[in-house]
Amino acid sequence: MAGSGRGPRERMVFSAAQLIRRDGVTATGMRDVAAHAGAPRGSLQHYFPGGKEQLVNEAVEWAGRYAARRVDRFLAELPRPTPGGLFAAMVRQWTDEYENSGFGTGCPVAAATVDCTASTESTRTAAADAFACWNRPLARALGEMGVPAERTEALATLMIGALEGAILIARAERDVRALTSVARELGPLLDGCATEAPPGR
Amino acid sequence: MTLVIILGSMTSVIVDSPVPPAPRDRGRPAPGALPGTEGSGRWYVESVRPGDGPALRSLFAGCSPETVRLRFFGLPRELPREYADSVLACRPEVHDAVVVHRGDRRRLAGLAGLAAPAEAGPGAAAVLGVLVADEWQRQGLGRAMVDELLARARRRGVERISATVLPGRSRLLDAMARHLEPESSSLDRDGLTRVYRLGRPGR
Repeated sequence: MAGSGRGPRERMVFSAAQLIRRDGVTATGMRDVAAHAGAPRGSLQHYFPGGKEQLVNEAVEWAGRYAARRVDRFLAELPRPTPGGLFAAMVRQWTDEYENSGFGTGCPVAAATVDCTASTESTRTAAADAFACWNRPLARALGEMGVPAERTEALATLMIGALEGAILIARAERDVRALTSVARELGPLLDGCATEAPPGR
Repeated sequence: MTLVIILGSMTSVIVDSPVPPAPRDRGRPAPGALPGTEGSGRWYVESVRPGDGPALRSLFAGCSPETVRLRFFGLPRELPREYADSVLACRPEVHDAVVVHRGDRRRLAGLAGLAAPAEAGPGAAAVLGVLVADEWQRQGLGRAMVDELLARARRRGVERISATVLPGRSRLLDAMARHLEPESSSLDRDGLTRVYRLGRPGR
């Protein structure tokens, strides 16, 4: 990541997200972030005068935006978008990672939620907003696939919740079983919710 | 950081320093007039006190998103707790901070701080940061706070300070260079950082 076209500040946010999803917020130090980003330690003081709290919150916000952007990419790669197909693609991102790189990392938003919601109100808010940021494009996509408008937000929450839970179980078991199970079982249920003709058809 | 360095001038600024000040620094008024404040009293630049937390949060809450972005480079929704704790610890050797107000410390117009470098060593520079409420920008308050912080830093033996601004805001650092000796600059996609050498007290 260091050496990409990103500036040092953006690299530090990215690095913070990567370290948080591996080690959690508490175990991630500012020095670790600077080293991971290939940035001088002092630059953290300049770019994040609010300290670790500001950096963590921005990493959580970044993760929410990243997950939201992935929704459109998954859809673009599906020959015939369906709710179950979209969910399977979301799950596959994680099974691919775990099968190729091991089970060392999870979702940074979930990690920040676990570590900080009781201690840091601003991080709790950032995590809640990140989940909402991820939910919105999912709900919109479901609507475009024929899910009635009154159900899209709730089903998007179901998809995110099932995925986050399966990630947690997969890391505990060091096995992708939970992920493949939720994709297999939830897919038909989600497809069955697409009861309307997609808008514009 | 966003040096909201204000090059205008002010009616009178009373400086109250917690570190032993040079005699000429105490109560030094700043020259000039502050527009729109005729008869409204003097401005005071004073050290942050442990009880200033609510006033600092109020100052932050009253700033526009753009002012917050220029100071913090991002958009924290509230005054970052870690930052507030550092300022309110009132340890000048770690984070020296001053506020400016017109006699009512509950209504602050600005906050400036000089944080010791995260890592000591040759070339390490203290980090300067200034936040001035939107309605009081460009009227000399930032400059008054910076002057006070720099005077104290010289007395503490600080040799270098650094400041970072967002791309396109280099004139703020150029203004600093009229009073301090620039030592180095680094420019990247995220901003411009300049290090200045501080002269000795009395220079």
